[in-house]
Amino acid sequence: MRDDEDDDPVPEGKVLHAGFHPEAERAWYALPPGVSALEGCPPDFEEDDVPSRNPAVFSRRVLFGLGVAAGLVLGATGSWWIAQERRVVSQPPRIGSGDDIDAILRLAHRFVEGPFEQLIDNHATFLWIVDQHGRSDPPLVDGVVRLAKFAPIHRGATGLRIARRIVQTFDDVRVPPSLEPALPILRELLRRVPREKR
Amino acid sequence: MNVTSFPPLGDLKVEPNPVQEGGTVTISGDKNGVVYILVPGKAGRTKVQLDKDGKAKVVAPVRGGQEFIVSPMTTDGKEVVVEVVSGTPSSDSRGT
Repeated sequence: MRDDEDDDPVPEGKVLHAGFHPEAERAWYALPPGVSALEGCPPDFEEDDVPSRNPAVFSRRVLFGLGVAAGLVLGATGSWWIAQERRVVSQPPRIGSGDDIDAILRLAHRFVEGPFEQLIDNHATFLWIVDQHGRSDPPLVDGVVRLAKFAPIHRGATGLRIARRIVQTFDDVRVPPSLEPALPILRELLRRVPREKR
Repeated sequence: MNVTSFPPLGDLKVEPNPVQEGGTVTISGDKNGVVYILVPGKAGRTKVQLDKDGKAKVVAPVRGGQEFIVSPMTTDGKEVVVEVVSGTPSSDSRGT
């Protein structure tokens, strides 16, 4: 007789059901229904009066605090960065020493407010002013948008020059939202034109 | 309304255009008028005073392949964009 035949037979095919059976008989050692296990007896453990002494709780609190602190630092840094960016955008380099910046900007505003033909006739001057000082000036940006819409329609040397100048002016800076849709069109326009004809 | 303080400029003419690199252009406009030379991408403008005949000569301020602007910087005038091409300046464009 082999050794394995001496072992207790392993029941097979037994299905174990998980869950609570409402009609199951109570165990002989179970307390009567409704009786608390600790009723009338003091707890056999001491309550944790100082939860922070628990290393796990302490570490969670520390992590939470560090997270809050990091969030505050990041938020403050982001706010500072945005403020700096706005400050830089709103205060670009001055056009030149001795120049009357206000007068030059007023001229650019008059180009925008005047007839569109006037803006086209002086588009290079206008875009030069925008490049030097007015990339964050909403009325001037509106003028740029009007020129950007005109350039693909014109399809001549003037249109190409306007497209090239606008793309160069807003190539390395934050593009105003109103101008964003026009820039890909201008780039595509320039891409289709041979370099020597730009 | 007094408008005599800002007389309208006549049409600007710049010859030759295009000009060769290192060459000189002749600017023609109003007598004793003032125009400005602007270079795209560069800060500062250069003031050019036209003479009693309304002319001035200016050396091309940029290299070949670039351009500069001769602008009256008024709403009454019309700018001229001058292209500068590479190559040896000819006798016509060198000026004096």
